[in-house]
Amino acid sequence: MEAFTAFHTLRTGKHDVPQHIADAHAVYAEAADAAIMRLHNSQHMHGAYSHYATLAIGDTTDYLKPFALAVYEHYANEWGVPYAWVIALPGFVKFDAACSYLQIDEKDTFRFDEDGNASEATYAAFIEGKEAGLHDDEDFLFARQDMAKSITSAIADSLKEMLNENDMTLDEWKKQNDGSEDWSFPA
Amino acid sequence: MNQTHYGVQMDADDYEEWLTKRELSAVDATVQLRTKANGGGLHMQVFLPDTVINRPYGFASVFSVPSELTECLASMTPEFMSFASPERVYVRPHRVVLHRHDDDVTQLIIHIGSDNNTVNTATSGIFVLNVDMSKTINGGLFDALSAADVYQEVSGDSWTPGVTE
Repeated sequence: MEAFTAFHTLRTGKHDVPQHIADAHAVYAEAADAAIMRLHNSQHMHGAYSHYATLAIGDTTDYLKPFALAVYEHYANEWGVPYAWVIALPGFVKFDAACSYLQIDEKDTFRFDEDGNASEATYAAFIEGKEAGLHDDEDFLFARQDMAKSITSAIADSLKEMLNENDMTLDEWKKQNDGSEDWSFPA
Repeated sequence: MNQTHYGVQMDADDYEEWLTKRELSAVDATVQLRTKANGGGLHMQVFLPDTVINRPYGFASVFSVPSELTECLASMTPEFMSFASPERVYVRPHRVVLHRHDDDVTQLIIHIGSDNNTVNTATSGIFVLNVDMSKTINGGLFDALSAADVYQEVSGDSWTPGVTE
């Protein structure tokens, strides 16, 4: 309940971007500006920087998306709820150009389509809540879009086949990407 | 994990055939490593004659390890069949031991099989790895290698680069 209260507070007005995210954005913006400046000053002689400048310029809404995800993670940790619960809440994080403050934009929020199918974010909130033991072990009450079901089902089949071929369990496969070495070289 | 050993699950002829195809003796533990593990980790299988850790043949797990070791394995020609499928994607190190030293460091020593006597490079014949025993996954490794009778408590400090044991 505290998380919902906090979210409703977040829905109104402007809020400071968590410092570590603002700092990361500042590094990104500085590198992007430098790449663009290098291109600007050299493109009459060579094209070496065009690739980097294109990456840096990108689409302004696209390049901010990872920072929005970091904000979702920040609030998931702060509120002590699964990540998907934050993603499933109505509204998207929007930043100002300098990434100094954020607002919640509730435009175009999709939780159910016109046929009453739940969004994948809503379904993910159900799955992650169940995995975290935060609600009863019951079936999902809503329908999912056929296309979404078919994609996840195909991926699940292919993953199952890969696990069998590799003599791995799902937990062993997931653990591979946890970022820490089980065995390390002596220093 | 409620599993029964293949030696119990299968009838005697089937088990004998299973062992023969995998070039195993019914009484000797055997360690094998996958040459190209899917996902980049190191996949180890341990055949244990009569012990089930987490597989009906003994033990298997995927470990996050330095890339030099997975590169070394990836360069090797697989010779042995998986204990879980008919795929021939494994190699067997000449020697694997797990040592617990006086300085409380546990080290896994793998003599991979090549003649190169250098340690811990992608072309080395010997790998010495510190094993973080606080990790659950390494508890399984300890159980398996103890059952395989290759765990030893040894006197002296653990090996470090530049210091001869």
